[in-house]
Amino acid sequence: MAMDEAILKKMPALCLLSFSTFLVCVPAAYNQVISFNLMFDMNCFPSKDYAWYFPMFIAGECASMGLSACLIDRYGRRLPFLFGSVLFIPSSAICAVCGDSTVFLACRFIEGFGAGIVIVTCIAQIYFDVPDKKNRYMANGIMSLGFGGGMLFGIFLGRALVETVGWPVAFWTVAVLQAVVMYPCMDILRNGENSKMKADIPGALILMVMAGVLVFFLQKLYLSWDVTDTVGIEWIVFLFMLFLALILVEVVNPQSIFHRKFDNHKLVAGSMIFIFLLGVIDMAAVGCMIKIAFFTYQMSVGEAAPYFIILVLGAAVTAVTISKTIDRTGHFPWFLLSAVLSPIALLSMLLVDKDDPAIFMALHLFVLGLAIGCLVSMLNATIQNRTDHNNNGAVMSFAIMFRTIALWIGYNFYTVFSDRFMDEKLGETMAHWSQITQIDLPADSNLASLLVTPLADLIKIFPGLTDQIAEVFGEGISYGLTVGAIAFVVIAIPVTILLVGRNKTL
Amino acid sequence: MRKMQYLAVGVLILTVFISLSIVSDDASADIEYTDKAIIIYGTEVLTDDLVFPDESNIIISLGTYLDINQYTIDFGKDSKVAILDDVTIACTTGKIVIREGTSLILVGAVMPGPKYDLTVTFDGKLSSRGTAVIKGATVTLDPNGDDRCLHLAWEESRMAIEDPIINYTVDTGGSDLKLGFTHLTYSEEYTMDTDISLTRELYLTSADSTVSVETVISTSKTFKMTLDLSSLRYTKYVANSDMTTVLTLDGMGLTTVFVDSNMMMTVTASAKNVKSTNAIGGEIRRFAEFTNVKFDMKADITVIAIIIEQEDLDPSDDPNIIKSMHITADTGDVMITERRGVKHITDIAVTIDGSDKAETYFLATFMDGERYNEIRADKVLFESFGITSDLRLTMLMHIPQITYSAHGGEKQEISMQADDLYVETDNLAVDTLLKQYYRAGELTAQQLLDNSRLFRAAVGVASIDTDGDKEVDTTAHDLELKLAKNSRGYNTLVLTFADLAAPLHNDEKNIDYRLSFDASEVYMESDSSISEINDAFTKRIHFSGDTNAEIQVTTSGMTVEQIRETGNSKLVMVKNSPESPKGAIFTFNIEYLRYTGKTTLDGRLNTLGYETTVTNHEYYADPEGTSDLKLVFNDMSASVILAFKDIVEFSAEVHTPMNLDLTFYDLKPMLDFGDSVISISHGQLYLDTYDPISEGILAIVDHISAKDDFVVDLRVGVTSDYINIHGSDREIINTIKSINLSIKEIYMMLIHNDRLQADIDNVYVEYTTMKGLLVQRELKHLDIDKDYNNPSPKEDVLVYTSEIMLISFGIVTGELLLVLIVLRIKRPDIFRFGKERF
Repeated sequence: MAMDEAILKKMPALCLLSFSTFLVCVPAAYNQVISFNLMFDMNCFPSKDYAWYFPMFIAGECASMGLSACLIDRYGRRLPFLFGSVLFIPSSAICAVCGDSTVFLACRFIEGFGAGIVIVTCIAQIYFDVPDKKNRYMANGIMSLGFGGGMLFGIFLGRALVETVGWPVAFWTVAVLQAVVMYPCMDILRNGENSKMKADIPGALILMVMAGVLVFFLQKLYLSWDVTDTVGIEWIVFLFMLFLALILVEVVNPQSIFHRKFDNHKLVAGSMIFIFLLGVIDMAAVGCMIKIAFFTYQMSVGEAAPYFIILVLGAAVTAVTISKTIDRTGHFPWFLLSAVLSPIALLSMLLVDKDDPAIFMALHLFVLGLAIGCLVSMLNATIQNRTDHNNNGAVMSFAIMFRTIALWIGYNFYTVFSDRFMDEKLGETMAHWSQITQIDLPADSNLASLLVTPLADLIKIFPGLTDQIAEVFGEGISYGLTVGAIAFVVIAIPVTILLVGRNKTL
Repeated sequence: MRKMQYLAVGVLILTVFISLSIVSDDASADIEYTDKAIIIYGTEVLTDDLVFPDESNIIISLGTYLDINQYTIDFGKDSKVAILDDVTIACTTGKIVIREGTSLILVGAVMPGPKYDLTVTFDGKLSSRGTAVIKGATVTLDPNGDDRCLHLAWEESRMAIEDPIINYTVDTGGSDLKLGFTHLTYSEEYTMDTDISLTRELYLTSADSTVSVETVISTSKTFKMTLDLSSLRYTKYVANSDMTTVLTLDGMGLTTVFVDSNMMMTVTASAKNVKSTNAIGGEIRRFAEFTNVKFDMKADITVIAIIIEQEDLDPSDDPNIIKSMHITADTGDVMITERRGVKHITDIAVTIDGSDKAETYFLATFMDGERYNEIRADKVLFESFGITSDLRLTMLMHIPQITYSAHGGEKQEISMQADDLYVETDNLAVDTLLKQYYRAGELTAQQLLDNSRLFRAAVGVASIDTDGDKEVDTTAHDLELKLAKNSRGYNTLVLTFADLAAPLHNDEKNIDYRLSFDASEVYMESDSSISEINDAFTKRIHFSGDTNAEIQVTTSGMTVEQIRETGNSKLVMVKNSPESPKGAIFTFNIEYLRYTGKTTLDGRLNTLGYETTVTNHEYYADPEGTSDLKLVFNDMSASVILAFKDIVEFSAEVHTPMNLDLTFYDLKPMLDFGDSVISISHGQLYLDTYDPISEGILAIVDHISAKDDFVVDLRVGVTSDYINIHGSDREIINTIKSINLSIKEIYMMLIHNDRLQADIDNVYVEYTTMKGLLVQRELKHLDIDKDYNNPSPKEDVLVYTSEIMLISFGIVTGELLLVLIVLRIKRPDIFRFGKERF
C-alpha cells in the first residue's frame, strides 16, 4: 500500500506530464490518414507533399529526442521542456493558419521537434519524481498512456476534426492546451538534480541528424527511392558514416553517454531489443489496424474508436498487473509472456471475419493491447532503473527515440508489405483499369487510402473494386502481421533467455 | 438577244460584199456628182481619203474598178448605196467605212443600214462575177500576201473570214446566201453595266470551204440556215470573276436550222466530240465532255421573238418554248463539282416532248457503267408566266412529279421522287442576276432576294431510296424555301417542312449521318445580306456593313445520328407530354459591328416540355471494349454567347435537371442531377490554326476535333439541388445536396498536340452530405502539367548529386573506420562502455 500511496501522491504531477505528452503526440498522426481537404487548403493537390506531413513530424520528433539526450541531464528537464513547448506551440499555431504546403511541412518538422523534447523530458522526469523503482513501472505506464494514447487519439481526432470543423481547429486545440499546461508542467519539472558531467553535445548532434535522416530516408525509400539505386546506397553509406562518427565521438569523449554507468548491461540491451520489437512490430501493428478499420471495414471514427479503447484497456491490464507484481516476479516472465502474447495477438488478426469483424477484432485488439502493455511501461522503467542522474535523461531519450524510429520502421514495413501484396493481387486489375481510364491508378495502400476520401465514390464505381481493395489490403496487413509474429518469436525468446535473466532486482 | 444582233450584223456584212460584187467593170471610171446621186463608174484610184456626205445617194455602176489603196472610202451616215453589177475593189492598208444607218440597195433587195459604223479591210482584190438576181453573184478575195482574210470591225467586235467565197442569189422565191471560208474568227470585248468586262471569241473551221454557211430566206417567211463546219470553239471570259467558259465542238456534222412561218424552229446538229469547261482563276469548277452527240430540237421561238422585240410577254403566251428535243451521245465525262470528281457515263439520251399528248415531258437516260439511270418528269406546267421587256420574270412553275432511278450493276438501286415541285418567282430580274453572276462567278440567295419580290421553291413530297431496299431513306413533306422581304422591309429566309428524314455521308471521314426532324421551321430575318450571314457560318465572316440578324429554329422533335467506324452518337429530342409546346425553340442573333470587327452570336435555347437525350456508343480496340453514354435533359433552357474575332470569346448558361448514365467497359456509373445550373463565363478560346474570318463559324468544330493547338480560359459555376451517384449495380453510392461549385479560372493550353498545361484557380465547392453535414472547401490553385508522349520528370537534386555524394561519404566512412580500428588497437580501454571512466 505504501507504493500505492507514494504513486497516488505523485499522480497529479504524473498525469499532467502525461497529459502534456498526450497533447504533443496528438498532432503526430493527424495526417496519417489522407485528407483531401487539407491538401486543397495547402494547395498541394494532387502533389506528393501530403505524403510528408506525417513523416516530417516523426523526423522532427526523432531528431529532437536524439538532441535531448545531451541536454536534459546537464541542464535539467525544465529548460528543455520550455524549449520544446516554445517550438511546439507556435509551430502548431502556424500549422493552423498557414496555407502553403512548404511552410506547413517546415512547421510540422518544428512541431515534431518540440514534441520530441516534451515527450522525453516528461518521461525522464519520472526518475526524480518517482524515486521508488517499483513505482516507476506504474509511472511509466501512466506516461506511456499519454504517449500511446496521444498517438492513437490523434489519428481519430485528426480524422474527425479535419473532416468536420477543419484542420485549423485541430492544431489550435493542441497549441492552446499545451500553452495552458506548460507552466504547471514546468513547475513540476523543477524537481531533480542536474548532472555535473559535460553535455555530450557532439554525440547528441550526430544522433539528432541520424534519427532525422533515417526517418527521411525511410520515407524516400517508400515513395520513390530504392536501396539498390545509387542514391539509396549513398544514404545508407551516409547513415553508416554518421554511425561511425557517433561511435568515434562516444569513444574518444570520456564523458560521453556511452561512458556513463549502467547496471546490468544485458538487461538494458535486452530491453532495448524489446523496445525495438515493441515499436517495429506491436505498435506499428496498431497503426495498421486503424487503417484496416477505416479501409477494410469502412468504419467511421465513432465506430472504430471503441475497438481501440479496448486495446488501451488491454494494455492497461498488463501494465497495472506488472507494476503490482514486478517486484515478486522479476522481469523474465513478463518478457517471456510478451514473447508469446505478441505473436498470438498478431496472428489473431487472421481470425477476424471480414463480414462480421466485431468480436474477433475486439479480441484481437485486446490481446494486442495486453502484449503492448507487457512491454511499454516495463521496458522504460527497467531501463530507467539502470541509470543514474548522469545518464537517465539521455538513455530514456535514446530509448524513446529508438522506439519511435522502430515504430516508424515497422509502420513502413507493414505498408511496404501490404503494398507488395496488393500490387501482386491487384496489379493486373488496376493495370486493366488504368489502361481503360487512362488514369495512372495505384495498386497499393495509396489506393486503399482513397476509400476514406471523396474519391471513394469513384472507386465504388469500379465493380467490386472497393471490396477487393478492402479485402486485399486486410490480407496484406495480415500477412505482414504473421511475418511480424514470426520475427517477434524468433528474436524475443532468445533475447529473453540470454539477456533478461531471472534476476528479480528492479 | 445578242446572238440575233450578230446575225443581223453578219447579214449586213454579206450584203456589203454582194453590193461590191455587182459594180460594173468600166475602164474609164470616175465619180460624178449630180443633184440626186453620186455615181461611181469606170476605174477609180484613190489618191486621198474619199468621204461622202451624210445622207448621200450613191450608185456604184457596172464594171467599176475601185482602188482604195491605203486610203479610206467613207459612204457617210444614213446614206443609200445602190450597187448595180460586177465590181472589183483593190485595197492594201486602206479601209471601207459603212456608217450607222447607211443601207445598201441591191438588185431586188434593200438591206437596212447597220446600227454601228462598220469598217471593212483586206489586202488584195475583192472581185465579183455575175448578178445576184439572175445567176447569183460570187465574191472572192484574191490576196496580195499572207493575209488571206477579209476583216470586219464594228465597235469592239472583230471578225476575220479566211479565204472568203460568197455567193448570193435573189429570185422571186427569196434569197440564198452561201458563205465559204476555211476559218472564221469572231471576237468581241465589251463592258456590261459599266463594270462587267467580258471577252468572247468564236472560232469556226469549215468542212466545206466553198459553202460553209448557207442561209435561205424565202418570201413565205421561212428561214433556213445550213452550217457545214468541222469544228467550233467558243470562249467567254469575265474579268470581274476571272471566269472562263469554253465550248468546243469537233467532228461536226451538217447543222441545220429551219424556222417556219409560224416561228417554229427545227434544229438538227451533230458532233463527234463536245467539250465544255467552266473555270475560275484557272481552276476548273465544272467540266463535261461528250462523244458522238446528235441533237434534234423543235421549238416555238415566239417568246424569244417577243423578247427580242423588247415587248412584254403576255401571260397567255405559251412559255413552253421547246416542243420536242432529242439529244443522244455515246459517252460522257461529267464533273459537276470538283469534290465529286469526274463521272463517266454512256448511252446518253435526253428527250423532251412538249406536245399535249405526250405522256412524258422530260426523259433523260444514261448508263453509269452497268447501271441504268433515268430522270423523268411527266409534265412541266407553267401555271402563270410573264416576262417584261427588261427581263423581269414572274412565274409559277409546277412539276407534278419528277423521278430519278438507277438500277443494274453492282451498286444499289436508287430511286428518287419529288411530287408537286413548285418554283415561283415574282418580278425576278433575270438580266440583273445574269450580270451579277458574271461579276462574281456565282449567285447567292441574297441576290435572288434582292432581285425579286418573292422566290419560292417547294416540294409536296420528296422521297429517296438509295440502298435499293425499296424503302424510302430520305423523305420530306411540304418542304418549302421562301425568300422575300417582309412587311418591315427586312430580308427573310424561311425554310419549313412537315417532316424531314435524310441520311448523309461524309466521304472524307467515312461517317454516316441520319437526320430526322418533325415539323420544323428555320426563320432568318435581317436588314442586311442573308447570304453574308449564311457565309459567316459556312465560308467566311465578311460583312459589308453593320449587321444584325435574327435566326429562329423551331422544331417539334428531332433525331440526329452519327455513325462512325468506331461507334455512333445520337441526339433525340421529343415531347415529354402531349401538353408540351408545339416546338422547342432555338433563337439567336448574329451581330456584326464594323468598328469592333467582332461577330457575336447570342443564342437562347428553350426546350420546356421536351426531353433531350444524347447517346454515344464507342468501340475500343485496345483494350477491347465499348462505352455507352446516355445523357438526358428535361425542360432545358440555355443561353450561349459566342464572339468571333482573333479569338473566340464565349459564355453559356444551362438550366436543366439531367441524368448521366455511362457504361464504360465494365464500369456503369450513373449520375442524377436535380435542377441544375451550369454557367460558363469569361471564356476565351484561341485555336492556333483557326481563323474565323476566313473559315467561318462552323469550321471551329473541325479544328477542335482535329486537336489543334489551343488556349482556353474560362470561369465555371455549377449549382444543383442534388446529385445522386449510382454505382455499377445502380445502387446509390452517395447523394450530395445543395451543390454550389465555382471555379474562378480554368486555363488550358495544348502545344503541338503533345503537351497539355492546365491550371485551375480558386475552386470553391459547397455541398451538403447525405448525413446533412454542410461541407465548404476551397482549392486555391491546381497545376496539371502533363506530357502526353515523352514524359521527362524533373530529376531530384538528391538523385542528381548522389554519385559524388556517395564517393564523398564512402571516403569519410573509410577514414572513420580506419580511425576507429587504430583507436581500438592502440587504446582498447576507451571502448569499454557503460562504466564511468573518471
